[in-house]
Amino acid sequence: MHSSLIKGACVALVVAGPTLAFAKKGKQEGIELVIAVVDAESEEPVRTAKVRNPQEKETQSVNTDTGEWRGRVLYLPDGTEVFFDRGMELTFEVSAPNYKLQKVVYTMRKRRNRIVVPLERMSLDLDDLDDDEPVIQFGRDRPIGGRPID
Amino acid sequence: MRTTAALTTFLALTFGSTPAFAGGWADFASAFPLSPCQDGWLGCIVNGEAVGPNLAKDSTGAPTPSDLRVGWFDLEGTASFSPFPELSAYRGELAREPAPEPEVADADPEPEPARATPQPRAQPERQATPQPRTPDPEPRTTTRSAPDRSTPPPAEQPTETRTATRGSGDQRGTGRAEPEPEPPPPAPPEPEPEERASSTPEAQPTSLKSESDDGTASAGDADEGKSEAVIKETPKPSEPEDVDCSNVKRLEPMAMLGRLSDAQKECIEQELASSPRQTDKDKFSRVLMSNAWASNDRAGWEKLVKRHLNEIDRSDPDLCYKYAVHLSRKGAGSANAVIRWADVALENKTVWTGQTYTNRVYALLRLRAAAAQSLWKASETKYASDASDANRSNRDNARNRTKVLAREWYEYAKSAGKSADQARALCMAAAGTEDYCEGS
Repeated sequence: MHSSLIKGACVALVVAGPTLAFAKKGKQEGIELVIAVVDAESEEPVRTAKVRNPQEKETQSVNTDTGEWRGRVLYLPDGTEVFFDRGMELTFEVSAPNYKLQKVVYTMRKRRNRIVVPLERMSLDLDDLDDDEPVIQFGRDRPIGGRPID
Repeated sequence: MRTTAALTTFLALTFGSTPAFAGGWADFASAFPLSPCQDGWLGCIVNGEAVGPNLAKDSTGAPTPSDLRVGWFDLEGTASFSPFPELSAYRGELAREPAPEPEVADADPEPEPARATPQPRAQPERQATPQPRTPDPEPRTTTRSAPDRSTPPPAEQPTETRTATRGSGDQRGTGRAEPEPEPPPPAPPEPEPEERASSTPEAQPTSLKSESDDGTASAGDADEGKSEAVIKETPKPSEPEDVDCSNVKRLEPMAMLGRLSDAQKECIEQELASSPRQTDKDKFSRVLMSNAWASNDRAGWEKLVKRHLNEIDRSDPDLCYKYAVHLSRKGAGSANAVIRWADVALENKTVWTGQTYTNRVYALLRLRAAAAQSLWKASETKYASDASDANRSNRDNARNRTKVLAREWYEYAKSAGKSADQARALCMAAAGTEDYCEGS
């Protein structure tokens, strides 16, 4: 009987041990968040986008093939680590050349945390500069006083 | 024998000696000076006595050259003795000033009759006074044969004008009343004949009109009229052929039209290369640039401007601005040059004032930021394909420069009251956050 009890306890430990171990590991890593940056018109991934958290103050590039950023933790300037957890509200600033800055606020869920951030194009139209082009003057000798000499 | 010898001797003496005594007027040239008067004139009045090139008489009545200051026989001073005479007063009648020329609009096809009419009348009087005293108030005039042109006014006019003018010279004074019966000639285009001298302003419109109206004027005038008519149509055809480019101002009108010939351009290039003064080089270079721009040769203009800014002078912010705008249209490949010349223009921005200053500075900051953004995009694309350390460094530098230039643009737009939306968007995009652009 004692041997059966001992055997049962061993089995229980064997079964419960890994479960406890797995629970510890999830808390330490944080929940994964995926941010997919796409063009607002063509919906194609923006390969040159960058993602930044105001707290972290570091810009991180997206994957050049998929245009996605994945993360589980934030590293603050003071060395603190902030793991993503359920119910946590996170703010991100997504930027890319020739696109307008996009600010995203997202509340973490337990799983399937994926957000798609569409970026609007930003065009700097320089055509109106033609209206104000100056006429280049011919050279004229000018005295020190400033009055032109014919 | 003796008789024959005597006769021969007599004949020889008689006829042979004659030429020796018979001299021409040229032998006495010194006796008739061309400028006997002390003031250099041909004739003058000294103490009531007329002095001219003819022989004068001294106190004894002997003839002496009029420029002889002391009499030959009496050694007394003559009329030309004093070297400080006063100018002789002119006692003749001064010619009346011609009536002021009415203003005629340029390229006016139908001039008023009143303007046309006085002119023919003035011409006969001008003919009477061969040396018009009044200076030409306007540079535009007809040819020297203006008096002749007066004769061939439009077909209907000659008879009328002649009859009117022959009445009296005073008609010119009252000429304005008379123009009524005379039909106005077709208005000639005026600007071209400006080169030619004119006798009086009154003659100018007439000659212009006669030239335009009547191709059958007097022989000399017809060609001139036709040539001037041609000139009016094709502006100064003679100028492009002139390769004398020493006076650059003469070439500026053609340069503004983009009509400098190859010979002229080559001449200017030679002058530019040989001129030791930088200011002269600047003038020549500007003529070439103006010509290239006006002829729509952007590639040539770019080369000229580049040379001008690199080798001659870069203190003209307008030129730098224009060049930067031109380069901005060429794409990201010229972005660095755009930023460079925009910076050079901003160094001399104090040349501008008022609204021009605001607009140009805003435009230059905008050009810089846009150029930096294009470089940033290119570097990001390059890094995405090749994530090397060098590409990463270039990308970071390009982004930082975009951020800085965008913020400068944003700050100026806010302070100048210009549109700041684009600047703010670019600043935030380059910085990756709002804090950088809005912060202090």
